[in-house]
Amino acid sequence: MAEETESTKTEPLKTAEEEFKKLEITEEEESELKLETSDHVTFMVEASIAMKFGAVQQYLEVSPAASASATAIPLHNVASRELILILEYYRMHDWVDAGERDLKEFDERFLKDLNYEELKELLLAANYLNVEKLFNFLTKSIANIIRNKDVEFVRTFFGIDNDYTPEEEAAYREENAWAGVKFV
Amino acid sequence: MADRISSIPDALLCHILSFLPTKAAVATSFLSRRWKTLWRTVPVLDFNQETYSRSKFDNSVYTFILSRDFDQPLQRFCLRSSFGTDPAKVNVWLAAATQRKLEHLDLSLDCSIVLFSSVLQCKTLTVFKLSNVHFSLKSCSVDLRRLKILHLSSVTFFQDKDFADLLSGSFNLEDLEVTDLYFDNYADGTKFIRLPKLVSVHVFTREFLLEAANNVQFLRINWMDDRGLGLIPEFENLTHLKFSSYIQQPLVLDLIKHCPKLQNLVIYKQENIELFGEDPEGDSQPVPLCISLHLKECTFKNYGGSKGEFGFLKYVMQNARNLRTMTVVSNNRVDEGRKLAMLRNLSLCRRCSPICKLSFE
Repeated sequence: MAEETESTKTEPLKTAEEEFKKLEITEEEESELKLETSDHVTFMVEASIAMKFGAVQQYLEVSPAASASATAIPLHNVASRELILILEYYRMHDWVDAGERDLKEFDERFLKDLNYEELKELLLAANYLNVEKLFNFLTKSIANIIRNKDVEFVRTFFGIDNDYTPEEEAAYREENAWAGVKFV
Repeated sequence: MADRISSIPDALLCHILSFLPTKAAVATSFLSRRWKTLWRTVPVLDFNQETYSRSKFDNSVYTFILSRDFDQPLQRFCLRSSFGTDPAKVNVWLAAATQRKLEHLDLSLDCSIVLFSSVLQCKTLTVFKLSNVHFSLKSCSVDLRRLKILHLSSVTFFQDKDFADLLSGSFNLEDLEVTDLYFDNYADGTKFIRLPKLVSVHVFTREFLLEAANNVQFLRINWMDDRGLGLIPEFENLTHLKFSSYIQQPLVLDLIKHCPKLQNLVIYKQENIELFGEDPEGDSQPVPLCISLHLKECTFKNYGGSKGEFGFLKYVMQNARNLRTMTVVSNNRVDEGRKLAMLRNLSLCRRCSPICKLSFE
């Protein structure tokens, strides 16, 4: 069938070929990139979203071939659990029809579904991936969590060992007390 | 996992601390030895006088400014004071802050101040928010060439020329908000330059001439009185208009005629102000192009269903060929029965655009 068309009707075929090329171009625009997380799970991700990740951009600058080939772009410090969350966040925020109120509700729910450990893991992943919007959202959220909390809460939250001796800590607090600097 | 968490890099912790007021950031130095100096590299200083005892505020600000790591840039400096801080001290603090590549300055001062050149010629500044201040430039020239965002709220200028000079020196401005602006004096021949890069303007004051803003895409106006009227420029690029007015003129339709590319119109109707004049249908003038061709979204808030209001909405729906949504939010003093009648009247209007949705809240 194809051969027949080729020999008899060259003109329409040309158009069809052009059409096909056009189609290819549009497909290329919506192309996907293969990402591999630290636990060796591969994800096919819309290029429009993957290219928001600074780490992916950087990788493609060094080895541009990876965008076309089947090789996966390795994300050494991001586990599949985090990547799923990051993609969920970016797909929502990338969605053209999402209104301001939708995004606010989404963000609140997104945050509520994370425990503190997951939140910190996600922050490290966002930092590694170099995704600005999510990074700012997470750091701001963490600031809100520790705001007005007592010293022990914040130590536990960040897993800080207090390496001050009690005397040192007392003296240091004393030193700063004049300015009213204290933990509530 | 615990190991990984305790390895949150300092830069990242600093970013978290940058969202806290400086006092809280300093307090994290009690957490452990590692945290003792962390706050010193946070690129933000944020002081709110209300959270300090009155006698200690000034010294705290000095101390924290001096204790910061001097090599670290200071991106944002925020100072809110409500007891009338000594302006001389404020200028000293600002001189220190602006030397650290300051980008964002947010001042609410409750005092009268002559700002020094350290601020007015700060070449790194991109955002400047100023409120509750009586402000004069004396003869200091302004060079804020990187300033993109300027928000003024409850600011009284010594004279209108000070404001004009501030704008002239901020010639790359993109976003301007002006709320409750006052001038003590008016100089002869004060001229406002046009700001070529201005994209968004929000005006809630009587003291602003729209001529300076004729390039904008986004405009929000709360019209206070008729000063500056008769001077409505052609808003060639305006696509989004939010409009509210406390005076009878100009009529909404007259304003829209100056916005040939308007796509999104929001009207907030003030009580007892009729903005719509005679029935526009009776008007023999042609329908403005922006309504017939460009208008995609129209929102009417505080709708009371008067003849003029209804006439206007009917006119828009009948003539806007590309309207997608007409959103009407009724005045909350209107009872349910009346609301139903309003909705019925509106939904019976012929809609020229086949895809227009009417929503009534």
